[in-house]
Amino acid sequence: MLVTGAAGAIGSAAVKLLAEAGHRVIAQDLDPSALERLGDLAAERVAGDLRDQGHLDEIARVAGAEPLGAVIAAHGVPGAGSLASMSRERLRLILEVNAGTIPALLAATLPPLRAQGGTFVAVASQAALRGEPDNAVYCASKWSVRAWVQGIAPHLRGDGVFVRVLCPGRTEGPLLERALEGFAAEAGKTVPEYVAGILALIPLGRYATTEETAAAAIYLADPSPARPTVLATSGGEVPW
Amino acid sequence: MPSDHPIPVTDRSAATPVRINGPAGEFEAALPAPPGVTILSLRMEAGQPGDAFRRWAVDDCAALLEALQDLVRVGGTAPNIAVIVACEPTADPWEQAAMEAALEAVRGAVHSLTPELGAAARLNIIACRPAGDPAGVAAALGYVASPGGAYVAGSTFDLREAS
Repeated sequence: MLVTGAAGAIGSAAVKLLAEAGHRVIAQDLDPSALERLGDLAAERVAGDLRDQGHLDEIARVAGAEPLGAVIAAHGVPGAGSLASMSRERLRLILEVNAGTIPALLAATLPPLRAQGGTFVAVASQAALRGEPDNAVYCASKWSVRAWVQGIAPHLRGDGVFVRVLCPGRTEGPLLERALEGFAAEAGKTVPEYVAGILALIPLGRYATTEETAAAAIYLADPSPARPTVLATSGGEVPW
Repeated sequence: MPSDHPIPVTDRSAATPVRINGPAGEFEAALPAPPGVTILSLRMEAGQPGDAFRRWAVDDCAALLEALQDLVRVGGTAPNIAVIVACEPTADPWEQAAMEAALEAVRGAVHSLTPELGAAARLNIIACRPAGDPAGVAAALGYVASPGGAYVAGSTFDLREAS
């Protein structure tokens, strides 16, 4: 199993659950020092930038050493901010990392996935399913990933490879905290004020835990054909 | 802020459609330009070398978002913007998925910008086949430019099957 963004909140939870279940896990993240946060979890570690073809080649080499059961692509960057206020550099970074790296990662891991009959799970967002003010670039990146998965999945089933996309709601962790800070600033509110309003929008009245979102990704990573191509886990905020 | 995409789009009353991702061609030249509508064309042509997803869903979408950024930063009269996403179906599943991804990226942005900008701008999308029925595209443009179409915002006119 390969998990990208493995030092992040969702990624590290996925690594932990998979390692505890006895899977061979390859943990990838941008920053090698961040991977140290995984502690003594039994996982092979690779660090680098997924926009770099050399790093993708390294992933292909490491992942291709054995048949690959699944890829959980849990990397990403936050994107909150009005379009007018966003820098051009940030705009492109969001599209490149959140969207552009996903097909590239699948292409790099497709041979070992084919060998195993494996599964590729892109962790997108509930922002892939609706528009969100002050989040236009992030939504663009996530909508494109969701649509791309829906488009490519039928063509890879014949190879025994399942491609799926998880659209989780607000999940506890630093990414959410940074996003909430950005949204609160755009709304001219304090973070606690903004958070109170957000929780009222979620029928379950709370954020997802990292373990819940990781468990959803692992559910989709199962090689059974009896899984949806698109799954929303949003606490009811974005029914799908 | 100066624009760094190939075609600066700051003229809200541009008389001719602007192609975001390359030189304008016969398709753009044939589009009507109703007064008061800024037309941005994102035309995808299959069969080009390289990574189609990166070209359309990343680079071209970034260029479109930068153009929209230019337009909303200008201030003044609220613009009426029509984004035309034109593509012919392709037999290559990777290219076809990339085309769909690019269109959905545009839709995700427009669905977000519509509540974000409120009455400060009106954005709609026309998805079509460049070799399809130009009259259908012209009718959609004419409708969003007309008083009767003034309540249409954040909508997608998907004319691909009709073409």
